[in-house]
Amino acid sequence: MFIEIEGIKKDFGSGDSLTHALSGVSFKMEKGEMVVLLGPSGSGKSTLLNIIGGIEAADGGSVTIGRDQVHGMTEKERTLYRRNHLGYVFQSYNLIPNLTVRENIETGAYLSKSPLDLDELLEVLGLTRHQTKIPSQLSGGQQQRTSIGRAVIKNPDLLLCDEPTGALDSETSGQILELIEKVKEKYGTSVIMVTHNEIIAQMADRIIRLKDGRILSDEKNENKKKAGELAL
Amino acid sequence: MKNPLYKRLGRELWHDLPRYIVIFLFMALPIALCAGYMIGNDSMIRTYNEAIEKYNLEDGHFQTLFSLDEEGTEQIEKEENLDVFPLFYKEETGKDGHTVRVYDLSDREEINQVCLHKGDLPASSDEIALDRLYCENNEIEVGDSFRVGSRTLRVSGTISVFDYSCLFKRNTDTMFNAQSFTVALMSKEGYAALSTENEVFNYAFRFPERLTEEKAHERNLEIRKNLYASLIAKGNMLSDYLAVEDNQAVQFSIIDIEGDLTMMLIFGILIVGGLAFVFALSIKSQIENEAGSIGTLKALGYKNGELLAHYLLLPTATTLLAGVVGNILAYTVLKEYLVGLYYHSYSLPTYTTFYNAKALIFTTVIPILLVLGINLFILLRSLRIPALEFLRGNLRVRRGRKVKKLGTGMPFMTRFRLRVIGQNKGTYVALFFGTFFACVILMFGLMMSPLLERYKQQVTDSLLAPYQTVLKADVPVEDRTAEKVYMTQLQYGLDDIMVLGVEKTGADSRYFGNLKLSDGKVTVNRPIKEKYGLKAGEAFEMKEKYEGGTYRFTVSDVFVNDGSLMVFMPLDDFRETFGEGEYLPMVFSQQKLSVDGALVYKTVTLADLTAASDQLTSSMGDVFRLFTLFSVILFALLIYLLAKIVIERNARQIAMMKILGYKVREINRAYNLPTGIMVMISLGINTVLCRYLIELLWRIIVPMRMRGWLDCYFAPYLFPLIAALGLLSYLAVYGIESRKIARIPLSRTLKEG
Ligand SMILES: Nc1ncnc2c1ncn2[C@@H]1O[C@H](COP(=O)(O)OP(=O)(O)OP(=O)(O)O)[C@@H](O)[C@H]1O
Ligand SMILES: [Mg+2]
Repeated sequence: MFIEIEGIKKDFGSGDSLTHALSGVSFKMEKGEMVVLLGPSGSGKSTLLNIIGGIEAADGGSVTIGRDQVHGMTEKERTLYRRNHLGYVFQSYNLIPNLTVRENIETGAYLSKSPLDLDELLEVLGLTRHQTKIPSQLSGGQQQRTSIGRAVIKNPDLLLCDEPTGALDSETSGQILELIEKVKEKYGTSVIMVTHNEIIAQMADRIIRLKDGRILSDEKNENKKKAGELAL
Repeated sequence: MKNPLYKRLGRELWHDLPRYIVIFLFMALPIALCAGYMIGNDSMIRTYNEAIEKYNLEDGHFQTLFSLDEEGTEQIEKEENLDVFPLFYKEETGKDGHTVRVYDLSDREEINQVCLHKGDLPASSDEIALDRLYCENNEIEVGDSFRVGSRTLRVSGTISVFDYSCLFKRNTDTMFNAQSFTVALMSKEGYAALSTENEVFNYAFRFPERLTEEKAHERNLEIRKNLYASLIAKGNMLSDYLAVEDNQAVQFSIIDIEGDLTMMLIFGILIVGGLAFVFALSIKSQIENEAGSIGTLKALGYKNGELLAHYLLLPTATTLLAGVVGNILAYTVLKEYLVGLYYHSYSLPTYTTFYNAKALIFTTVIPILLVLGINLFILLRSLRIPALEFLRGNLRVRRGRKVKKLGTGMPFMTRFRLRVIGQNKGTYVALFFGTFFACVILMFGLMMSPLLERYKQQVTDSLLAPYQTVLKADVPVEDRTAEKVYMTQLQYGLDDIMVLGVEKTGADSRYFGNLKLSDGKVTVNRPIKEKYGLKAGEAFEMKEKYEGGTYRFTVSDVFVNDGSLMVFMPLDDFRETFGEGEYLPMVFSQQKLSVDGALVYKTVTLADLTAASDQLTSSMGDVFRLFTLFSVILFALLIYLLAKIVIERNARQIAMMKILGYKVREINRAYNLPTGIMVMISLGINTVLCRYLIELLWRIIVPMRMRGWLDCYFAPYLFPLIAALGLLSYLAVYGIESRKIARIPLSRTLKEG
């Protein structure tokens, strides 16, 4: 098993404002699999993703990826873990304003010993024409593609996406999802994607439903669709 | 692979070019000043030390009331194991009442030799050589005619003598005086032809062997004591004894040169430190603006060090460049200029430049370390914040982000403004410290000339009598306006203080009407009270100058009188305290005393008393102007950089407000008004704070370093002036920045999130 998540707990606040963001979440995941975390707002999706990504610490439980135990790592070790294994895409693009598209992606390549070929990736991302523009000269979709490029160029074992299409229209969303699918297939990357959109979930190998910090269901997606076929 | 983040630096630089240029200039200038000072000073100090042997500088000198015969000097040489060289001088009056102290050139063959700057040494009896600096100050050229007493002489050349590297007329003077006092040399015949009326019997001496400073000090105490006793026994009197270590005319220049260097280095370090702080703050606000990107990079696995390195590169490179350019400036332009300033104050022999590796290292490495240190400290703290907090844009407050409740009764705009202030607290704190720093520099730059003006006025206003004459013997004087008192000198702190025994006060006296004396106690004048904090009822101890005895006095009253430091006591007490021969008569009068000139020991006039401020104004004038100019620019700059940070930090929100439909005027009132108000509040508090800080430092430093006393005075106009300069600087920034904000395309500002 590639990823094993065991009894993750996370509380926020205390007293009156105590929130059980996650109360005992466990699941497993194969290499090359695409898992969608689906649930309503506030159900704990982002929190779970952040714990897996090692940018938030759990209050209890364990996260094992390959041979690495993410829980119990020091801040330094977690940085190295992310550096060597993870790609991250957020709803907001978080690009560096005064670097070009190409250079923003290079910031990802820098972190890897065996990065993907940049020109080939730009072609895959459909950004070859735009590579010398800076973020403020791009559309939202182009910016998100750049941000995906930055995450995948390091050829991560695991790509974490938190509502990657949250800010985009349906057509552009479709393009982004196709891109993620393409990356997954081409490079064999495992993907965990957070969304609250049932339709998007249809492209997953497996769908995990969350509510109030618990797993409602964890099922193989029997009628999986290609990203291009989603009725967004 | 090279860190691709470095690629943004070029654009960063281009985008923020004005800021970098401004910081660069303001780093390069103080660095150049410091390097120039270090190079110049080092060269001067080496020249000075070499000159001690080169010109056979005396180890000290003494003066007697009446001249010694050959036997007398030989006896002293034998008894005290010294080489004694008669080095008499005559004090003559030159043009405008200037004092010309003439020496016989032939006396200076073996001791205190002469450095010729221009022209020739005097050969015939109607020629005279004058001090180089005095000539410069009075625009006297070689070949000019020059009046000395009743004779007109030709200036044969300009010279400097190392025993007057600084033109102190009397060692007790607060300041040297190269305006109206000069050393002069004449040929043996020329000297002999001058009237003997004001001849001073001065003897220079050298120890036969070189002594350590400590040993020399011991010897001096001993010789002084012996001479004092043996001369009194012969009906003569030791009227002065001065070891070279205590001789301001020799030491002042070097102490000043060394002290200036310390000042300059502190000044430099403060400025570079201030700029490093500005760098750190602007990078910090940049990090806050880029929080999302930084958070993502951290989430992707960037290490803090890698992020930090790319932020630090530009400040470090700017500092390095400033260091190199500063040093080039120092060697090419500034060194000459700064050394020139010294030559405009001191009569130093010609100097040679020594190249100085220490200065180069000091002025490049220290600033870089300073910039790196301050930035590391501030930025590391920001960058250590976890990635998630960056992604949430939650950087300003780390723990428990508390939101203060504001009453809903308050108008919305007021609440909004309070929120703006709360949001920018950190920057306002920085603004406060920044303005404080700027205020200190500015106030210091602006305060000196009114301070000196006022001092001069005070001295003039409180002059006791137009003529104050110290006589060699207690002879009767025929002058209706004359009042005789008795005078001796004792030491207290750094100062030689005149102690006067006064008989007539109150209505009986023309000069001491306001002086109140009480039996068994002394009255001090105001400068003593200010300088040493002596109050009525307090006891203090003064030292006897030659024999090391001490006297304990109790203060009964403070005499309001400015100028030199004086202690008064009733004549009967005075006679009881000091033995016959330990004091001299001193006459206060309205006109010049008509007594035999040979009996006059010295005359004090208004010009002597204001000489200190005149000299300071003349020799420091250029320095003050430089300092003022620099401080005004630096002040405006600091305010500019700080206000810029505040305004830039809010650019995004301002754009958002505009999108919501707020008018520019409303936005200004919401954002820029609070900043403006904070600038004014900071300025207001800081000018007052600075005033007290400077006064405090003044009261600590002046008594330790300076003879005499200058009141620490702040001309009232300084405060509104500083406030106005601050406001102007802010308005300038505000104008530039608000136009910039208006021009920012709104969509782009938001996209850059
Ligand atoms: N830093 C925090 N402090 C306090 N509570 C938090 C914090 N982060 C998350 N929470 C709470 O934890 C719960 C889960 O939040 P989370 O962000 O994981 O939800 P989500 O499923 O991603 O929702 P959305 O779809 O709206 O993004 C929420 O109730 C949220 O209010
Ligand atoms: Mg979420």
